[in-house]
Amino acid sequence: MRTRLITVTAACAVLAGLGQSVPALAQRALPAAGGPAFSHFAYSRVQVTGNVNPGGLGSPTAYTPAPCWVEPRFTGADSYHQGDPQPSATGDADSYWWWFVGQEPALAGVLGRIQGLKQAVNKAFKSRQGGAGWWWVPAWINAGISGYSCAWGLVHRLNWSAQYLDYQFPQRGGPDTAGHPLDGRILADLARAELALPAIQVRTSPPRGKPSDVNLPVWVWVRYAGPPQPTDTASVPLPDGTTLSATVTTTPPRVSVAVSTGSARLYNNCGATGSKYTGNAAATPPCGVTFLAPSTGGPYTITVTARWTVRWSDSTGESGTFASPPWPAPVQTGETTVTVREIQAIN
Amino acid sequence: MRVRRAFLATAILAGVAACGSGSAAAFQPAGSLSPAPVQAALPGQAGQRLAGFRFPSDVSIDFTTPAPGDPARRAVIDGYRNYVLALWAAVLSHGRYGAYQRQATGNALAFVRREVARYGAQGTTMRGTIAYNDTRIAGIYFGTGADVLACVDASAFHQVNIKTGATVGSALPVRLTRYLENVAEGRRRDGTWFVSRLAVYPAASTQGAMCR
Repeated sequence: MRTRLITVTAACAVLAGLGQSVPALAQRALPAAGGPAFSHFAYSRVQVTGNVNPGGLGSPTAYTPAPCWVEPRFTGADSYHQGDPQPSATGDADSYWWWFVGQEPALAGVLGRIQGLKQAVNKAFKSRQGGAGWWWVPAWINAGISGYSCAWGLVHRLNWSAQYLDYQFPQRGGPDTAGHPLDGRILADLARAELALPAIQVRTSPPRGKPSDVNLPVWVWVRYAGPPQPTDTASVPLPDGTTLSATVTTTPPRVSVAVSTGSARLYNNCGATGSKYTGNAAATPPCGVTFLAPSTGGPYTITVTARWTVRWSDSTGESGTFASPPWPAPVQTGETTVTVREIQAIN
Repeated sequence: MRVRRAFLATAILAGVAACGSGSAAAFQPAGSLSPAPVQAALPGQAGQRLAGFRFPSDVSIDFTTPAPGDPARRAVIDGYRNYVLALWAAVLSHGRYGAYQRQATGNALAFVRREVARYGAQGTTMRGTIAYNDTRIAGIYFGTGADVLACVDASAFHQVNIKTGATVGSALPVRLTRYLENVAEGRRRDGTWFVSRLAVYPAASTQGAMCR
């Protein structure tokens, strides 16, 4: 337990001033199934793997739920050890407390200057040594300011400004408490925020750049720039050696077609990929459009939309969906244009 | 599963509870921050004072977004505006106006000090207008932390030589002529707010795109 690794390195960078923006996302190449892993959480050991978008949490306004939480880090057996405090991100709760104060002096406020603090804090940790609880530490999303703002609110709401650590009984889920402990739902939110829905490329027959004719069906299908059913998992190791995780899955996409004119007949039995041209020009495509008038005012636009349903489940058996809003609708769109000519009669 | 929590160092907390983020006297801006005006609290306007500091008539700090009607949210916006006013008052006074020490901590405080030092070392001051537009609260967390965004237009805000009055350059680095300012705020026990962290994104960047 005393040699536990904590993924906090880049996350600990404090913005030094106006000349700096948020720290770069800490990306680590991890050959996990489905894609790389990204870790841009401050003071967290949460990992998100699978079909993830590293920029999903990069915007100051990207993440809807509270972007901070408390995360279990140490067992009661690692409350205190002889020789403490030795400020360290690893080891035990007492060492972590002193290390964290050094990392976040703005949160620490005036504590470091209080006479007798060292003895009092060490005594408090020592009193829990060997207890059945876990020590929970604040963690947040390290993109923009919102995570830090949230953490500030959390630690002050719980009156932790002097201690930073919470001592709770082990738990792996259940409803949120005042401490906003990390659970499957929060992990699911993180996984959802980073889920990468594949962009779609619209294909048509006749192909883009070649004109079509009035009353001639245009076949429409799509190609996905990634797995059509993306999935990702957020997980965190727990102090007892087990792992809490939440996996986000998607249904097969449902594709639909819309056009920029009312003078058209749409075929929206598109399934997940639309209908690729079969070679029979007279056939009606399951997915496509027949334009009923020429595009005299400029090319028509064909807009193709792929919609997914996104669900989550966690390692405790909890599951759910993501309401939109507040979550962005799980949708990708693509466009193409087509010039439609009047058919010339031949006598 | 119910959670039992044992806070440690309760006595320490009680002992430090009275310790705020600074020891400066309470900061009370003179300008109105009522929800009605579109341009509220223009300290550069003649006759307006900022808790003992008078902004020069050729300096305007404009807040163009109406303050929220909800008192709790208005207090958050007040905290941000007070920080902004204290920042520029500190720079204009070359650090003599010390309200910023109460309005900023962390890297926000470091930024104020750096700007004060920069202007002082160069023998310059500023002139013109800096506008804080589209100010909004991105989130209030657990009642005591908040996330505020504002689009800042410093294109008409200039650094000038104190002696000659000649324009030296832009008041802020060129890439920050227009930018998104994102601040974290903390709530004091008395209900007022202060800035605890600061980040900026040039409007040309992806994150600052909302301010183009």
